[in-house]
Amino acid sequence: MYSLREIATLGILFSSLYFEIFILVTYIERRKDLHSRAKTPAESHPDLPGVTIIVPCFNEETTACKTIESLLNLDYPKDKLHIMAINDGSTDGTAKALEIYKDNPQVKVIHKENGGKHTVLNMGIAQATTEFVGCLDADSYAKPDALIRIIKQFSNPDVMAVVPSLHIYNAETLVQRMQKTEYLIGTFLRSVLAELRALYVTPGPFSIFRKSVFEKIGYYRKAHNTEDMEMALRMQSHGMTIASAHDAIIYTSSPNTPKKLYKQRVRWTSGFLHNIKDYRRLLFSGQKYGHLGGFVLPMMIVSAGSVIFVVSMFGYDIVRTIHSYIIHFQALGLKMFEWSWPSFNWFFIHTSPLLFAGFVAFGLVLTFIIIGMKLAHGNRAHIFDIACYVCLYSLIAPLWIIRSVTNVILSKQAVWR
Amino acid sequence: MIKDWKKYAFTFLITAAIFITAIAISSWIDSKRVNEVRTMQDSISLSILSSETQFNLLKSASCDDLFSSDLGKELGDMSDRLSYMESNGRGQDPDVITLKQYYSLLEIKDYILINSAIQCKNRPVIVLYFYQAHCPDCDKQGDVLTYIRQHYPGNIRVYSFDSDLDVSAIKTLADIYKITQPLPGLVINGKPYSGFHTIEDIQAIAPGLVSTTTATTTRK
Repeated sequence: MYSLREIATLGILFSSLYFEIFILVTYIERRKDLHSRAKTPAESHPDLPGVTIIVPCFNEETTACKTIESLLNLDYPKDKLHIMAINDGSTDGTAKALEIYKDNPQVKVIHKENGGKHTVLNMGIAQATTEFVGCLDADSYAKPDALIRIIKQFSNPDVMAVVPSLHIYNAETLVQRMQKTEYLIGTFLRSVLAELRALYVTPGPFSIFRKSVFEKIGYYRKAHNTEDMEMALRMQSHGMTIASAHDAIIYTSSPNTPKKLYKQRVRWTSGFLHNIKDYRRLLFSGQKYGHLGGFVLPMMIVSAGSVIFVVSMFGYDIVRTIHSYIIHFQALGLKMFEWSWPSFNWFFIHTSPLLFAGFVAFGLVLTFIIIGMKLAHGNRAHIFDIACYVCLYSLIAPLWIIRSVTNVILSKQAVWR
Repeated sequence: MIKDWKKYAFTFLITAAIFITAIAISSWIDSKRVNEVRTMQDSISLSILSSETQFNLLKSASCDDLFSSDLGKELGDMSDRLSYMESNGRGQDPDVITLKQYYSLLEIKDYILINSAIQCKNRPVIVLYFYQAHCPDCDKQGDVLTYIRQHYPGNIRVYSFDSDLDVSAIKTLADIYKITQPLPGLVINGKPYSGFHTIEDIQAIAPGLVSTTTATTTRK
C-alpha cells in the first residue's frame, strides 16, 4: 500500500512529532511554575551575591560601549557587580573606545594579546573574585532586570549555571525577522529542556555560572569554535544542573544577510556535531545522563539525518517535475501553456497521511511560538516575522545542516569570522 | 529518563493516535475516490448497455446517442481520475487495477458499437491508443491526445489501453491492428500508426480535427 519512501518519510514525521509532543507534554506539566516565574517582580536588595561579567571585545569599537552601558544600567547593587572588559588584541579602535571607563570603579579594562574567545573567558574567570561569573558578548545588551532574575534561580543550591532568554536586537531584514521568531521558539525549548535537565548549550551572551563550576571541572577549552556547547556538555557529563531564566531578556545582534547567517549556523551546527562526537559517551545512556543522553541528543542527530533525507527526496521530486515539464514541452511545444486544466474538483486535491500529520506538526510549531511569546513577556513576534520564519527557514536551514554534516564527516572545522 | 517512562509511553500514545487518525482520514478519502470512479463506471456501462440493446432491437442505434459528447466526456473524466490515482502511488492498489480493467473493457465495447454504426454521418475521429509504463514517448503521446481531447471534445474519441494490463481483449485488439513494440501505437480511423505523432501529424491524418467550434456547435 505504501512505498518505501513513504514509510521512511512517515517514520521521520513520527519521530519529529513525537519530540514536539514530548516537549509540549512537559510544558503542560510545568506550565504553572514556568509562568509564575515570569510574573513575580524581581527587586534589587543589598544582600545579593557578587557577580563578575566578562565582556570579550574583539574589534567591536562601535558596540562594546553600548554593551557595557547596558551592564551599568542593570538593576543590581553597584558594589556587587563587577564588569571586566577584556580587549582581545583588537586591531581597530576598541582599545580607545574602552578608555572612557578607566575611572569607573565598576569597570576593569584589560588588554591582552589576541588568543580567541575562550582565552578571554579563562583570563576573566581566573581574575574574578565573586561567587558568580558570566559573560556578555560585546554585541549583546541586557534588559535591566535580567541579572536579578537569573540570580534568583541560584536560590536552588543544585543550580550551577543559568541561561537567559535570547532575542534579536533590532530586527530589520527578512533574515533577522525570521530569526526573531526562531529565537522565541528557542526560549520556549530551552525553558522546557531545562526542566528536563537536558540543556546542551550555555549561550555566550549572559549565561551565568557559579565560579566553583570552573574550579571543579576546569576552564573553557578550544572546542570546534563552539566553546559554549562544550562547557554545557561537560557540565552535563558531571551531572551539574543548568537552569533557564526565560524571563531574563538579552538582546543580541544577529546576522543580517542570508550569507552571514549561513556562516554562523554552519559554525554552530558543525560545532554541535563535533562536540557530540567528542561526548558520544553521553549518547543513549538514559540511565546515567537522563533525558539528554537518552532522548534529546539522539533526537537532534536523527533530525539532522532526516533533513538530509527529506531534502534529497525533495530534490528528486524537483528533477522529476522538471523532467515532466520537458516532456510536456516536447509533446506540445508552446501549446502546453494553453493546457486547459480540469475544473476544480475535490477528487484532485492531494491527500495523504503525510499531509495531515504534517499539518499537526506545523500547528505545534505555531503553538511553540505563541508559548515562547508568553514566556518571554513583552517580546512578541509580528505575524510578518512568523511568516518570514515559516517561508524562509525551511528553505535555508537544510543548506547549513547539509554543509555541517559533510563538514563533520570530512572532519573539517568551520571558521569563526 | 527511566523513571519517566510513563511520559514517554503517554507521548507515544498521543503521537500514534495522531498518525492513526491521519492514516484513517487519508484512506477514507481514497475509498471515496474509488467509489466515485465506480459510480462513473456504472453510469457509463449503463449508457453503453442501453445503446447496445437499442442497436440489437433495431439493428441501428440513434447516432446522437452513440456519439453523444456526454459519454465521451464521461469516459475521459473516468480516465483522468484513474491516471490521477495511478500517479499518486496507487497504481498497485487492487481496487484501482480492477477499475482500470473494467474501464478498458467498457472502452472496447463502446468502440465496437460505434464501429458498427456505419450509417451515421458526423462520425468523430476514432483513435485507439496503446501505451505502457516507463515509455517516455508514451507520456508525450498521452499529452498530445489529452490536448486534442480537451480542445475538440465533440470531434474525437480516444480509447487508451495500457498494454501491461492483464486483459486479453486488449491483446486481441492490438493483434487485430498489428500493433508492435515499441509503443506508443495509434490506430486512427482504422489505420495503424506506430511511434510518436504530434498534434500536427494527427491533424494531417484526420482533417476533421481542424475546424472545431463550428463542428461542435452544429452537432447538438
